[in-house]
Amino acid sequence: MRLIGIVGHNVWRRKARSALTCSGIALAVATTLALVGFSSGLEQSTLECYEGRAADLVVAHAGVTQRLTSSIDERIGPRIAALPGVRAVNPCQRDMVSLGEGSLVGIPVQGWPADGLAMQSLVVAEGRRLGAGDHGGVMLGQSLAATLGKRVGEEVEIELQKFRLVGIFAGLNVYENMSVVTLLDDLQRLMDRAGQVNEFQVTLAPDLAGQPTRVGVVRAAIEALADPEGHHLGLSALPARRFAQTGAELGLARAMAWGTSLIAVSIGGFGLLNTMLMSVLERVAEIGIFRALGWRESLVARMILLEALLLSAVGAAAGVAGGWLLVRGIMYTGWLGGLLRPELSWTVLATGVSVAVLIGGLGGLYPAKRAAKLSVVEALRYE
Amino acid sequence: MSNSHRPAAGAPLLRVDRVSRIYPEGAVTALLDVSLEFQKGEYVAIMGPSGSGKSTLLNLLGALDKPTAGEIYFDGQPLSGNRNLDVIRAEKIGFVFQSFHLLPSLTTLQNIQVPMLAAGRKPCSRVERARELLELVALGHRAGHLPSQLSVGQRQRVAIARALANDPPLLLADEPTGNLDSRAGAEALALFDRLHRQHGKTLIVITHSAEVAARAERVIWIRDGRIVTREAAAA
Repeated sequence: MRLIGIVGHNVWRRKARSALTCSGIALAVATTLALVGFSSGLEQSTLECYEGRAADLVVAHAGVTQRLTSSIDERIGPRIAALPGVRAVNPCQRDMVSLGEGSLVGIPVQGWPADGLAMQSLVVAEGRRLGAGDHGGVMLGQSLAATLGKRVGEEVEIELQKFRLVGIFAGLNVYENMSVVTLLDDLQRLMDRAGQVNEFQVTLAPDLAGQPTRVGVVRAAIEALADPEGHHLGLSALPARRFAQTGAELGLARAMAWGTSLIAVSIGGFGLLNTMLMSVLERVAEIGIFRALGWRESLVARMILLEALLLSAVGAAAGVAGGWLLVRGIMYTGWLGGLLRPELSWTVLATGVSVAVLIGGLGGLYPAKRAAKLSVVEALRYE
Repeated sequence: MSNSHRPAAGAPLLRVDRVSRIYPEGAVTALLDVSLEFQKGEYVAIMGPSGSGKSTLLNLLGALDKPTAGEIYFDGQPLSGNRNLDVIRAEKIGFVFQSFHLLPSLTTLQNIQVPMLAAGRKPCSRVERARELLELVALGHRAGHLPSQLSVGQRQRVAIARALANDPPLLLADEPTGNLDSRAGAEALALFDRLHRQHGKTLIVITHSAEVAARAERVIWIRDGRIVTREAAAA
């Protein structure tokens, strides 16, 4: 028999309580995995959208963290395109809209010029790509078209305005598959932002690949652009990855994910603390026996701590499985599944397991200390 | 059996030097200025009425508690400054408690191994030793049983086997026959006799029973926290 054997016995003999405690931890881990996974997935999807449309740099207003509120004069686009090292510039207007008479809200919409790289790189699944003369036309991602039950040629109502469905595209990921693409000037009109864009997606010349110094020169040139009076335009030109990681929307999603996870973890941790404390108080006499038989304080503390960690480990395993099932379940549930793509990477899984170990360690520490410090004589008298 | 608290000659295993134990919370003097010696291989019974201080003395002798005044020497070493009382309990002292204190969720074989974990024995030697001890107490066939599946007498024998786990020189027993019927009690006492005579263990037994005390080589009488004569204890 080893110490871990005694630990296993102690956990196993209170099956119902151990199962409930593990469930609490599993819920905390599953919540963390799901929420952090979703926020990571959102970040990854955003990055894929840029990279998939050949955007190396994204130019927006410096200091504007909420990307949808960034507003730049679209006439700056040709000036950026004329800079050395720039291959193409794709002006882009983004927003969130409601569709289907309000049945779907928060659907991303992007306005691109018909001849831009982004529009040209769309993979058409049905119908055709939007052309320069397709005003009032719209393209839908495959998942969105399926959710709305729309076919090419039918009408789509966006923000109470009717558009004609010209084509359905196969997006780069679930996020794009649940989005809408219009011509840039149609979206500017719809959002009452004529002549304005949120950002320019800049494709660099191929010979700049893997040349950070030269990319830096291009970025500096964009950021140095000024109006005819010599005032800086206040632009920032960030690599697509960094741009995807630093948006306020993503930051908010990340903060909410961690905030909610922290609450779940705290509840799980307090549940474990309560269980372990009850367990110690119920076993005062038994702990006294261990001490009387020569167990050192540290050995008793290790036993209690291992019990807490064992509960956490079982909870973590159940939480990882539960979290995986949860996100898979959500992915296949209605429109939410189309919008969210969880990223259950090893990092996210390691985060979940670390959370469980943290819960186990913190939840077991105080009971372990309390058990170790019991007076042997008092403990043996305890009934 | 002698009827005295005077020790036999020779280097004592345990020496109690003017020990007092006062519980400050209740201002109770459980032991007052007690001096005793226990020789190696001695079989001693401690008798006295309830509340006389017997259990307090046993706790002090077993390094479970510390005296308020005075000193206890184990094998010539003072216990008061010793920070490794756990090690002494694990390796030098075997306890047999009145209510056995077996761990209910562990089998007899596992219960016997508990003190060996404290002594840091290797797992395979723990199991081997536990089996040997179960054979010694004639319970080899009950290795996989839980305490709840044993008779009271069998539980007592498992407790004795556990006390012997690390082959300690000293065995302390608190009312070892208090919860046993006469037959099981006689078996336990026969086992104590064997451990004393054949294995050379020093036995200190707290008891109310004259029958138990009669098997000891020496009886110490205690009353109101002091060592007294038999007549004074009975008064």
